[in-house]
Amino acid sequence: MHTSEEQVYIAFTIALGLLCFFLVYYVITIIQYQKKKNAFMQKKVEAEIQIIEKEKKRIAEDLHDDLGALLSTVKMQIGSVIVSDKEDEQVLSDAMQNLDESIGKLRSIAFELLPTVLIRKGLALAIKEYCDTLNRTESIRVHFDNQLKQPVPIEVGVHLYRVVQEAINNTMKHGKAGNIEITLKATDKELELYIDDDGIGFSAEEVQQRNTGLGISSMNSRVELLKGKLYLMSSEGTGTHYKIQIPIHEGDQTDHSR
Amino acid sequence: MNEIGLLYAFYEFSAYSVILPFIILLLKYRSLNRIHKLFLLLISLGVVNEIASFFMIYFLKTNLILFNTYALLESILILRLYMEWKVLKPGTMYLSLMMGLIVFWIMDNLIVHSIHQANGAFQSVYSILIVFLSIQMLNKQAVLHKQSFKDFSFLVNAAFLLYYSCKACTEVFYLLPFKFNDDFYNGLVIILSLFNLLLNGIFVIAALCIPPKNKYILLSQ
Repeated sequence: MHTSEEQVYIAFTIALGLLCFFLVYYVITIIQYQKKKNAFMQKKVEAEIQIIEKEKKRIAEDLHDDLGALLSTVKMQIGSVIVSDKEDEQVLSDAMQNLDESIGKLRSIAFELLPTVLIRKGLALAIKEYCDTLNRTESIRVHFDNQLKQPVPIEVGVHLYRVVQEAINNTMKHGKAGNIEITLKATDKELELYIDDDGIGFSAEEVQQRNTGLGISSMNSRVELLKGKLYLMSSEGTGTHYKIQIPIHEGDQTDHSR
Repeated sequence: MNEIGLLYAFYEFSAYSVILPFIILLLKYRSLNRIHKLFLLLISLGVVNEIASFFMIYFLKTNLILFNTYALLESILILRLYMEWKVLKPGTMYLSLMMGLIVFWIMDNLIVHSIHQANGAFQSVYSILIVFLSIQMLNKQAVLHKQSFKDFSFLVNAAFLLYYSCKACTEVFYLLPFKFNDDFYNGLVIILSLFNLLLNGIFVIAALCIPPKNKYILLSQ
């Protein structure tokens, strides 16, 4: 038989235990809802990225196939005009020059939106072409080392290409780097992409403060969309190093070349 | 007035404080939506219970049948409220919980014990259930939606969480096979009455926070 004090003690312990149980339940449910929210936000970002990619593809195709073809036709038509007047000839020549420039710009915009080489010849060649363009037009030196011996699925290729674009864009905007080294390789299970620069780098606080500005969240979302992992290593004065790992699934739709 | 008299007066004051949110909800009746009306029904049940209890005690010297029956009706209405808030999925989950409560009530009040005595088991179980549901609802609002301290559902759930946590804990002292002295039980009554007062106070704020009905601008000729 319990004494009166013991009875009160037992009852209070049970009541306190009940309160602790409620508290544990509170913590568990808040974690569950947080997970639900994260999954929802991830799906939202993925859907947005897919819509953007689809729209970019559509605009690039419209520009290339419709407007590009139309401009080429106009160029042919102007080229077939014969004029005797030297002044008219000069006007036609200027018009041809402007048309060439317009076609060039249009191709460049379409390429930025969706490089045809990415669809036709694959990720590696698309990155190589992008690096060549940068080496020709920008002061930065970009070296691409392709160690890939297997085809990359088109879906994966598009997202990795965007990640490369975003990383290089970051380096050119904020990194103050002279050289960028891109390496693409694969193991049996994973595709690995390394992007390293010799710029000023940035601190972890800066990454968190400028998360959206640096486009890291967008890169991360694309990598997560591919069920992969993105590692970013940087500190002030040591450059920026990205490591992206994407799992390879059998049966994915692959591009036709490396 | 002696100590018992004061205790009784405070208990009555706490119990009848439910009339205040009831009046406010009636005054705002035109602004009430489906959930608010269900809540008004719950509050009305509380008011009817208090008034009927008064007469039953006056004439029959006991209100225990009402006390036990009110617990069942209140729990069913609150379950319905959580179904409307989409914490409980309508259909199997809601129906099985409701059926479970009814079966448990029958067991506790008609088979194991008598309806003529204060049965704590059902009171404890449904209090714990409401605490779980209110935690779910509060976390759902906190994480998935923008939560406002002036939000009706947030206030009602916060009140439920406070009151029913207290009720579940105090029921422990009645459920255990221990006999405490009368002062101890009086202390529990005071604590529960205080929480009841707090509950009705928050209900008043929640009722005041119900936004007015949308006003539509009619096009002039």
